[in-house]
Amino acid sequence: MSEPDQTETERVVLQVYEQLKILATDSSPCVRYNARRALAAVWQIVNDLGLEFEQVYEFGA
Amino acid sequence: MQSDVRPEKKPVALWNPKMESLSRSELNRLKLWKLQRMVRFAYDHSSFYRRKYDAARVRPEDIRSLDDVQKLPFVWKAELQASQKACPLFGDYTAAEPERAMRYHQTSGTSGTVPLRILDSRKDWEWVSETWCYGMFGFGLRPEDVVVGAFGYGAFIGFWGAHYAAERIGCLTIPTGGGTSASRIRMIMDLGATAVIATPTYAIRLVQVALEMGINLARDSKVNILILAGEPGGNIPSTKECLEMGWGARAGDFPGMSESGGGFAYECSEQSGAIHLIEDHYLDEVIDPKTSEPMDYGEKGERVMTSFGRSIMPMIRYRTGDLVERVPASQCSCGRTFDLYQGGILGRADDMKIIRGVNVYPSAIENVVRQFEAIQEFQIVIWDQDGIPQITVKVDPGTPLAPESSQNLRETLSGVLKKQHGGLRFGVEVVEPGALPRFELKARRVLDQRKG
Repeated sequence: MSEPDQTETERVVLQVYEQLKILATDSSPCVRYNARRALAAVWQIVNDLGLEFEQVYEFGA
Repeated sequence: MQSDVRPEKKPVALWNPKMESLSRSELNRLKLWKLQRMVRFAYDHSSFYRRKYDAARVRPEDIRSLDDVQKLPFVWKAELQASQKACPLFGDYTAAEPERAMRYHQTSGTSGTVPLRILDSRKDWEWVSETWCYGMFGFGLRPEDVVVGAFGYGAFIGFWGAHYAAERIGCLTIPTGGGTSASRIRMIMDLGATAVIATPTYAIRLVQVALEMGINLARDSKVNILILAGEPGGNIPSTKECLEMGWGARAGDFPGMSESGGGFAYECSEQSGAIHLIEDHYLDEVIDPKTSEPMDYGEKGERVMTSFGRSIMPMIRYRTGDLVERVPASQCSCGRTFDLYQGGILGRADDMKIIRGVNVYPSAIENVVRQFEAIQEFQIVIWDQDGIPQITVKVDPGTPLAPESSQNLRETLSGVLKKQHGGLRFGVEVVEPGALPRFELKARRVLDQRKG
């Protein structure tokens, strides 16, 4: 919820999360669909750790 | 069916140490943040919620504190059913297009009503099993465990989350859909299962079938963890005792519900007689079911649930009908800061029967019946005689009883039931072995034959 308190793990998780959103719209099906699955899994981490709470339906997750 | 084999407790371990040890003020801040976002999302994307909130003259920006949740109208199951009937297939409470979903389930229909159709997107479905991990890891499940899912693997959502949670933790996970009780027992034995997922009713049934096969699961199997859900039995003391002795395993209570998708509470390894709420994924309220007024710690009331998980079908202030008694986290020695429901789910608001002025709960009867080792299955029959309600408990011994044993069972059981219900007279009937139905999923043990 508050950036100054973030640990290194939390910063990395958020970076991965944002990058997966980009991959989730890739033109290659194997990239797109596996990235969506990974995004759904990483969403659990950012939600569990209280880093982000948003919906990701537009990214296919 | 009893044994004195009991496994050792596992040390306390948290699935999500950051959240499971937050202070109350930090937890409340987190829940308000999620509530505000969830209400905004539902208002902007679900015509059902927009209509309800507009009618109640409340807007998302009116939610400024956790207490403001009380400004939002309740959601009732009948409304969801009406929504799906009016707007087939999935109703107008969906907040994203049904095409975004990748998983379909439905409610069990045990209440006799039309099942609700339920959708999950990828992240919603991942979330369902994520919530189960809080409890299953916290109860002691680890990657080296071998887990058997002893359920039908059908359209009812129950236990699917547990299956995928076991996979997520890294356990060798064995599905047994379509199998018989005997074939499941063979797999438990042959594959060295250490944990079993089942309803309490079915876990008891497996012990009985195993004995018929000459297998004492407590002595002969490696099972040391039972993951129980789908019914209240995991926290009915005598049922838990019966299960723990029958399997030689710790039995944990992990309630969930189809409408929310995931588990919403869990028994931890300390087994304090209560279940922890998953407070970072839900906002739970306890209210008086008649007046809808909020209730304090230690008061029994109806659980009202707001989910921060599944969002394709948002659940905000859903009237669950479950009766609970919330107590502070400090009543468990594990150190978690998540509050507890003492005794688990105590029953359903509509489960209670009034017999000649006495409140009778099926779970209270089960707690007595399970103290009798000779009883394999039971059924509660309520009927009218000259306009006066009567209650009879039919008991099935599984194997024939001598006449004097049968008579003794009848007298002792009716005496205990009468004593625990303020002098209410219970009929007790010992039926032929095997005469009562057995259940694999949720048991249906109450037959109310009264008219009207």
